[in-house]
Parts: sequence; C-alpha cells; structure tokens
Amino acid sequence: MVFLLCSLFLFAGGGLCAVLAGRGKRASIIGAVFALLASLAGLIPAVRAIAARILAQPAVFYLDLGALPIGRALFRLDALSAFFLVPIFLLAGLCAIYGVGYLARVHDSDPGRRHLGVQWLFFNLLAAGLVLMIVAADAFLFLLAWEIMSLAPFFLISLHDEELKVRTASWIYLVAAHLGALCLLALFALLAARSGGSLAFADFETAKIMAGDLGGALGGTGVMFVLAVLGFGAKAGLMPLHVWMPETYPAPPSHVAAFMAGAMVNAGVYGLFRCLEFFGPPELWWAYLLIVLGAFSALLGILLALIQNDIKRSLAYSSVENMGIVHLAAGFGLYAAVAGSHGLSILCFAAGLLHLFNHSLYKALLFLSAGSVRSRTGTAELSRLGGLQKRMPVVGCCFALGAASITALPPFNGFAGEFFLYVSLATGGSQGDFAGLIYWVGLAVLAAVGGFTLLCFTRLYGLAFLGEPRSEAARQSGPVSFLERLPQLALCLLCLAAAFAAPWLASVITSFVVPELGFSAQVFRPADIAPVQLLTSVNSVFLVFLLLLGGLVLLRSLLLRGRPVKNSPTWDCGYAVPSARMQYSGGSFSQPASHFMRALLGGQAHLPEIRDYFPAGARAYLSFPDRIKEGFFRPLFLICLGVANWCKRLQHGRVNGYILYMLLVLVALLAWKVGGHD
Amino acid sequence: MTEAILHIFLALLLAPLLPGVISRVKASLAGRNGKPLFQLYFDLARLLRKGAVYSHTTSWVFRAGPMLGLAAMLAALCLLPAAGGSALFSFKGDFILAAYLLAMSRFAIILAALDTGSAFEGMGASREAAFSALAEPVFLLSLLPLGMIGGSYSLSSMLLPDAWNVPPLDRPVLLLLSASLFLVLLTENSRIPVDDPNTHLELTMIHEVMVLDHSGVDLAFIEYSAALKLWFFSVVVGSLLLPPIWSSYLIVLLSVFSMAVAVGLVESIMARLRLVRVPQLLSLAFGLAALACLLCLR
Repeated sequence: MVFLLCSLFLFAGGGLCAVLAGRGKRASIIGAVFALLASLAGLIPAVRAIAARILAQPAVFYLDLGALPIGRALFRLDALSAFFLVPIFLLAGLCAIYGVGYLARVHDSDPGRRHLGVQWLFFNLLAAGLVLMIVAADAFLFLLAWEIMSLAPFFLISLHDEELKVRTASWIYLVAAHLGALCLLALFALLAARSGGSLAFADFETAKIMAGDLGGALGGTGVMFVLAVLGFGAKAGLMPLHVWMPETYPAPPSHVAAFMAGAMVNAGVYGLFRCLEFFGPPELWWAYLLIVLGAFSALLGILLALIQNDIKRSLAYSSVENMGIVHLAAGFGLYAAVAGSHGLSILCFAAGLLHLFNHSLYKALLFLSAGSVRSRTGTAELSRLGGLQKRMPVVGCCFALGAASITALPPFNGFAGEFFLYVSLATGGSQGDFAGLIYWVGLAVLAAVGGFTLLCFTRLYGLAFLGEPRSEAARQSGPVSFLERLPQLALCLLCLAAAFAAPWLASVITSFVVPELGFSAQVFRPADIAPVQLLTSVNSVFLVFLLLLGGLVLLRSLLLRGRPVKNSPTWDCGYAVPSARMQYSGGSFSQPASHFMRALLGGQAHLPEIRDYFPAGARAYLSFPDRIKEGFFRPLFLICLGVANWCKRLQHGRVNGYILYMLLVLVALLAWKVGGHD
Repeated sequence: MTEAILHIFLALLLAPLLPGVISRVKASLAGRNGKPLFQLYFDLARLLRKGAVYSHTTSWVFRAGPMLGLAAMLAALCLLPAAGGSALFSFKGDFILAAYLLAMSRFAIILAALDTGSAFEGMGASREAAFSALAEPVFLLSLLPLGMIGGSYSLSSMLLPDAWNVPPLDRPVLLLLSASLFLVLLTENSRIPVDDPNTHLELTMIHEVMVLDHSGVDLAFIEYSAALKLWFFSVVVGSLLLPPIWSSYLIVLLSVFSMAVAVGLVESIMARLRLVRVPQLLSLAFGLAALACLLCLR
C-alpha cells in the first residue's frame, strides 16, 4: 500500500514539477520520468496482490484528511482493483515514453508555441485520477477521482487547438464526460440514501441486504442499475452512448489516445462491475439490457469501424465493438447468475475480463502505431497512405501484430478471451430448452463480429502499410525514433506473453477476480473452472502451429536455394503503366460488406446530376453518417439549444424586469406558505 | 492416436485428388474427357521445382502469406477427428480454434494479396473477406446442435452423430445442418455458385484472383492449402450423413469423395450467382442452421 501511495504522489508531484520546468523539452523529460517511476512503484503492489492471490483480506486503509471537507478518505486494494490497476500502470509508463518522443517533435516544429509542462501535468493527473478511482472505497473519493480522470483529457485533447476538428472533439468529450458523471452523482446519491447517509462502499454492501424497504421508495435497485449503465457505459463507449469516442480518439496526441483507449475506457467497466456488488441480487431484465446493448455495440461498432477512412476513427469504433463484447459477456454472466448456473456465470465474467485485459494491450499498441503513421506522413487517412511496411518496418510489424491480435487469431492474445466466451455461450445453450437459445444467439452475433473484424483489420493494415504509397507524403516517410519504437515493441512483447500466459491469467481471473463480484462468490467449485485447462490445450495447438510454420519456412528456403528468384513489377493483367491510384482503396475494399449490411449501416450515395451534354467536373461520394449521432443526439441537442436560447430572453438587462422576477418569486413563495405547505 | 495420425497422412496424401475428382465429374457430365485425375499432383510437383518471381511492391508479408496459410490449415487439420476416433488434439471448444485457424489462413492470404498493390487482388481480397464474414456465423451456428447431440462441444464427438442411431427427432436436425454446412463448404472453397474457379482473369472471381502474383513454391503452398481446406469441409459435411459401420478410413474416403462428386454435380448444373445474391444464399444457410438449432433445443 505504501508503494501505491508513493505512486499516486509521484504522479501528482511529477505533474507539478513538469509545470515548474516550463514549456520546453525539459518538462517533458521530468514529467515522463516521474510517470515511469510512478508506474513502476504502482506495479509492485498490483502484481504482488495478483501473484499472491490474497483473496482473504483485501488491503483496506484510510488517510485522515480532516482539514479537507473530505474527512476520512478510504482506500481499498482488492482483487478486482489490482486486476484493473495492472494495465493502467503498464500503459501509463509506456505511453509516457512515447510521449517524450512525440512532444519533442511537436516542440521542434514550433518552439514555445505549446506548453509541454501543462501537457505532462494533465497526463500525470489523468493517470493519478484513474488509479485513485480504482482504489477508492468511498463514494466521495470515487467521484472526486472520477472528475479528475474525466477532466484531464480535455486539456490533453486540445493540444492542437488550432484545428477546428480538435476543438470540436474537446467540447464533445467534455459534454459527454459531464453527462456521464451526472448519472453517477445521482447513482451514488441513491446508494447513500439507502445506506443511511454513509458514503463508504462497505456500507453500500451491507445496505443491500436490507434493500427493498428504502430501495423500493426510490424506485428500487433497477433505477440504480440503469443509472450505472448510463454513467459507466458513457465512459466505456457503450452504444448509444459512444458518440464521443470516434470524435475524440483521433484528436489528441497518440500517446494520450492510446492511454485513453487502453486504460481509461476500462474505468467504465470497472465502475459497473464494482457497483454490481452494491445492488443486491440481479434481476433478469438487467441481463437482457446488458446483452442487447453489448450485442448492438459489438455489431454496429465493427460495421462502422470498417467503413471509416481515418485509421484512428476506425480504431475508436473498434473500441466500441470490444467494449460491446465485454458488456455482452457481463450480460450473459448476469443471465447465468439469475438462472442459478454459477459456474457459467463465473466463466462469462472471466471471459469479459480476460478480453478487457487483452484489449488494453493491443488497442494501445494499435493507437501508438497509428500515431507513428500520422506523425511521419501527416495524415491517418487510408486514401493517402500505403506502402509503409517498407518505409517504417518496425511500426508496420507492430501494427500487423496488433491487427492479428484484435482479430482474435491464434496464436495471438486476442484469442483467449473470445475463446472463453464462445465456450461459455456454446455450453450455456445446451441447457436444453428455449432459455438456452439466447446463448446461441449471442454466439452467432459474436461470430459475425469476428468475421467483420477480420475484414476491418486486414483493410486497415493492408491499405495503410502494404501496396504502393497513395500520396507523396507516404512515399517520403521514414522510420520513427527510438523513443517511439520502444513502447510499441514492449507492447508487442506483452501481447505475445499474454497469449501464452492465457491459462495463468484465466485461472487468476476465475479464482481470484470474479469472486469479488458479490453475487457469484458463494457457490464456487474448482470444477467450474475446468475450462481454464482448455486454454492449455489451445496453447499446445499454438505450439504445433508455430512448429509447422517453422518447418514450412525451412522447407521454402531449402527449395528456393540455388533457384532463380527474380523481381518484376506487379502483374496487372498486361496493363503497362500501373499507377498507385489504381489500387483498391478503403472505400472499395469495404464496399461489398457495407452493401450487404446497408440495412444496418444506411449509407448515402451522393451522385452528381448530369444535365448538359458536356458536363463539367463532378464529385460523387458515399457517406455513412453515424445514425445514432445524426438521428438521436443531434436533434436532442438542437432541442436543448432551442430551450437554452429561449431562456436567454429572461436575461435582458433591464433592472425593472429583474425586480419583477423577485416580486413574482416572493408572491409565489407567499402563496405556497399560505396554501399550508410548511 | 495412431489412427488420428494416419488420418492426417491420408488427408495430406489424398487432398489434391479432390479438385481432380470435381473436374472429372464436371467433364463427364459435359461430355468431355477433362483433365487428368492427378492434375493437381502434377501442378504441385512442377511448382515445387520452380524458382520464384516477386513484385517490386511486395514486402515480407507477401512471402510469409502462403506459409502462414498452409501452417494454419495443417494445424486445423490436427483438430479434425478421424471417423470413428478422436482427433490428434481434442478438447471442449476445439471447433472454435479450428474456425479461427481457418480465419488465420484467410488473414494471411488476404494480406499477401493486398501486398501486391494490384487492383485485381484487392478486389478478390475484399470479396473473400466479406463472404467469409457472412459465412462465419453460419459455420459456428451449424456446429452447435452437433455439440448438443454429440454430448460435448469437441469436434471429435460433434462429428460422430451416427445418423442411423440418433433419436428420430434429431434426424431432421442433421439433414438441415448438412445442407447449411454444404453451402458453407461451397462458399469457403470458392466453388460455384459463389465463385467460379475456372474463370481466370474475370471480374467475377474471388480466390483465384488473390493468388495472381504468387509463383513457384508459394503458389504450390496456396494450392495445397486450398485442397486441404476442401478436404476439411468435406469431412465435416460428409460425416453427418454416413453411418460409421465400416472401417473408419473407408468412411472418411467415401464421405470425402462423395462430397467432391456433389460439388462437381452442383458446378455442372448451376451457374455462378450474381455477387449481390451471394448473401441471400448465405442467409438461406443461416436460416437452415437456425432452424436446426430451434429443433434441437425444442
């Protein structure tokens, strides 16, 4: 615990020191070194807690902050929080290293224009806020940390605030973060009311036993559950609350985007899982709600991801998809818990958590690689990229590994989580009646999502890194600096390690992390986790695959030895002057799929109308607007804007009018008092 | 164990015969003599003796693609049970791993195709990815009722339903599933009515166009893994329909070659579907599989 506090202080202190160090690169180095130290310090207790599997007594302690209005700040490090802390610390350190390289180039391009110290202050605050939120054990501290964690990215996103897109993205982020936090405030107020005013999480848990007497008066735990799904789902990017994600992720520097996509989204899942402990016995409709939202996010998320032209936007939609899978798993976990099959419930939750952990690693990797692409070529648009594998080989290989991992291909680390979920859904269905049908429906959704993920990521990697460059900027690009390469390589290694450590990870999660989720802890038999052993079998097949691959590599090189190996242009059916523009583009690659799925995606073709015999230049393009954003949020916010504009009339600047308002209020109060309400 | 290994050797040895059988069936129905039965063996032998030509555009991805594809296919074959016995590796959920190994193979070939920068290969890659995305849920959903009937979600018990001994109410399930899996077979192996393997260099093709730039050993690897994939799906579909009463190897051979004959028949009597109709075919397959699931869960 001392280490954890050290880590928090190092994050905060590092941020302050960076600000004091000024605008230049020195601030960068100070901020990053502190972030790195803090991460290392924080990893010690988190990893030790997981390795030692101290299920019995979670470390609880408090700081007396009597001078502040907080009073006593309660901290608690248990299995669930230790599990969520690991990716945060890993990514904070690695992203900080990447950030030094990135910000140095930003500084060089325009010295003094941007205050690097402030950037590091908010980066460190973001990390500290996340850690604090995860170890908080009372609602006040939790919400405080949540606000720190939610506000800090606003300042990070707006680094390149000269671009209109970036400014819009920051505002969208801020609004989304606040609306989410509003739901959480209401949620914790309800929880505190139920526990008799106490804000400590432990009291929330004891109060759930008496739920029903006071809970019923406030609309029951159902209202709390919906508030939690809204508040935490907004952070996790669960559809239809995802609209901020595709706008926000492309805007900030890549190390920030990677940290947000890899670590900050987890906060939403953590919050939901933590709150499940407080609600008491789950109800069936909660499970349905999570399953429907999860399936919806997963399927629509990946479909929207595969039509984006911007790599980072596509990655953002893929985050929506992955969070959908996690919530789908959680939904089935609840469903199984309600149905009384606790072994299955544990498996589903474990699948979700395993997937979440792996997602942190490969999504951060993909964002860092995409960032290197953008910083070297000046664009992240597929229509202007291509041929980068030869020009930045290390970044290319990293992105390829990330793409294979996120597609859940064996033998990479994305496979384990999805495999777990598939197995639980398949077995869940064989309960033999229609109650089992929903599991198989979930499995079919998951399989469809898997197929489209393959399409999406072969598209991203294939069009950005393979073939011929589609623009001069892509042709001129070169390898990236060591500081940018190092974190990517480290994440690659972590991904590979996670793939082969999957059985161990799964056993830690099933035996140690999932039982923390109150409702499935009571019935827990080792027989329930037999599927953990399946991952060992999976690993042996991985090994066979790698041996076969090695054998084939050997065979090929033996066969080709001494034979003529020539180079020639790509054979384009006899066409003599191929140009890079003739290659398949992002739009054409995803066209068949987007056409087949047009019922869900609803694309619009904008075709020019030709009237003259000699038409002038014309433009034709396809657009796929995010229907939830355009069809729901835009009208909603337009209404809000209308109401707000109308209210502006109240503030007209005439003093006599204001006095009239006072009089009216007084009369109204008088009337209320006379009416007998006291 | 030895049985499983023998079965793998059988697959490795005889898989290239399947395209030969298909083309002989098509030829005899059309009243031609057709290619030799062992044409693919000759092709493979010739390709393995050649050097290679690589495009300037390509990187290591193009060279690794065929090897990754073949390795994944071979690993998937290790999960396929021999009739009457269990596979080399068999555990609960191995059908997921097999499906994802096939996806790995596809991933590698698609990227290798995109690496050439050719519009033709991009087109093939795009269609392959789109169709397999639609076929994936059908394939996995079709296997689920088998797991229920077989009592365990491992291919080794899923593919031994013993159609003559299952409860009578489960027989229609097997029939529906073999129909939907046969459609998946046609899609995954780029056969008519989804793709026409004979139309080289037309805007309609999928698999053939992705391998335009491969040569020599690489092309041999790709052709061989395509043959193994056909073997894989033939065993899956064939084992649903045939009774395991004779020797297991005989059963495997019979089921596999009868599937090849069936594919040849379909190719002889049907034309390729228009591209936009393919999803309808797969929807039909999905419907059949869903119906089988409902019947099975009744």
